[in-house]
Amino acid sequence: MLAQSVIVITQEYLGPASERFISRLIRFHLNKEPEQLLKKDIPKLTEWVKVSLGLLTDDKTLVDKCEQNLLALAK
Amino acid sequence: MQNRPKLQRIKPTGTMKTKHPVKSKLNPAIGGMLKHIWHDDAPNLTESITVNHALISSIGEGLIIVNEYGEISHINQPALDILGYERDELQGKWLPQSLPLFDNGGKRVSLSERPVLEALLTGRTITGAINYKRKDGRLVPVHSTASPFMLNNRPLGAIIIFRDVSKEMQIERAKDEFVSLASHQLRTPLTSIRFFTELLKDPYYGKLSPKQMSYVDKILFSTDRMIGLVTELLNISRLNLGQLEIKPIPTNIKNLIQNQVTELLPNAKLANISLLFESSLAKKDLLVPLDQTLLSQVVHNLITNAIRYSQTGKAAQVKINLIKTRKFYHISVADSGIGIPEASKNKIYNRFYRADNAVKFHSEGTGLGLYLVKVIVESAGGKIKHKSVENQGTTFTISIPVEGMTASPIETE
Repeated sequence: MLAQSVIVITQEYLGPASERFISRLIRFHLNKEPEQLLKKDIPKLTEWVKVSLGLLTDDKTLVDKCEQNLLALAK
Repeated sequence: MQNRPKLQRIKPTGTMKTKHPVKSKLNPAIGGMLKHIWHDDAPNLTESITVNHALISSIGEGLIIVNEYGEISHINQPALDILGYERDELQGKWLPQSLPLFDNGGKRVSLSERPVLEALLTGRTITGAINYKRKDGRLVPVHSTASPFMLNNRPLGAIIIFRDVSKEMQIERAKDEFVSLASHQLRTPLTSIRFFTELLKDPYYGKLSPKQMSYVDKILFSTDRMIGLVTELLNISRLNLGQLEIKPIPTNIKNLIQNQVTELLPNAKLANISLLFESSLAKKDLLVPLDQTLLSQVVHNLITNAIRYSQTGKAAQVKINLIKTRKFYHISVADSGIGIPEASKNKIYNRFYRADNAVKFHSEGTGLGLYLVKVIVESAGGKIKHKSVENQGTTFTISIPVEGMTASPIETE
């Protein structure tokens, strides 16, 4: 499941909260369930992950790295 | 993410052009204002930016815009005045570190609980009362609205609008102090009236005619109502003043509920309603740290409401149920009464609110009972929910953590 890959990547930055965090973003911004996540949804999801993560860490490099790793899933 | 429009501090110079209209989720006034900044039809961007910079700076409310890294990209003068900082001290700084938030109990709000993060996670506007820490270390209460900041349907960051509510809170406090004092002073003469009215009923002091007796009963009934109302007002004002504390002690939860059921049996009988209390609790689960007075008040209010709004004449019954799950004790009170109209479902916990059908069905009532229930339950770490169908009945369920009620001063909004 693609959402699981997203969760695995974000776990590095968000820890165990990652699953709930990502699930909420998918439900609210993509209007679908995590198991319905498609590659084409990744760029939009990544934008929301980035702005949200920006409020959880002051490390810009880390935010950018997370963004890059997530965008790679869309390829 | 290539071609991502960056949110920068707006400078009233330059000739940069953009065709991105702002899709703001802010209140219409602010949203409209910001639309000018990236207006498609702006004949002259410099002029547009200057005008809008002036507009943002001129609004009376504090405004902070954060970029995708959580950095403060814009902060207006009212925000700086409220927070006691100079612009350079906050501009470009990481918001959560520069402006920590505190709840009404003075506890620092964690990063994951900040309203602005919730706004980004849900895409919704989050409004609420919160405290910022000023540069001088003083906490300043604000009413804040946080929303995602969107451009071309893409999130650029977030926008926070807030206003200092210190003065409103002082007025509220003065009002609550007055109500508290007035209620307290009213209770003393009322208690005397009640005492002497009861003496009048005692044949030892002389026999009353049936008519006199009925008048004395009416005085007694009205006095009891007045005492109930004054006590409720006193509780509410104490709540608002933070004078009401939750003091849990190990308590048999089943007995506590049973006591309230027994106390209210005469009222139920008068209304031709039967009360049924069921509990499937094992003996080992009976003792829970509870504030006996406050939880009794909660259960009392719920059962009283269920009796009050039950439709009699069809073997009406109020069912009270106590169960335990992994995390909570659930106490539910179900009636087959008039129910809550759809339009009132979100308002029933508001102070002084009474649904239209409730007012018609039972003209007496303060609209404070459910407010009090909700504040007590939530302050104790619990939850309240309800299910209702108009003209069929309502079930209120309160859930108390298995660890018991949380000891704390009760907080209100």
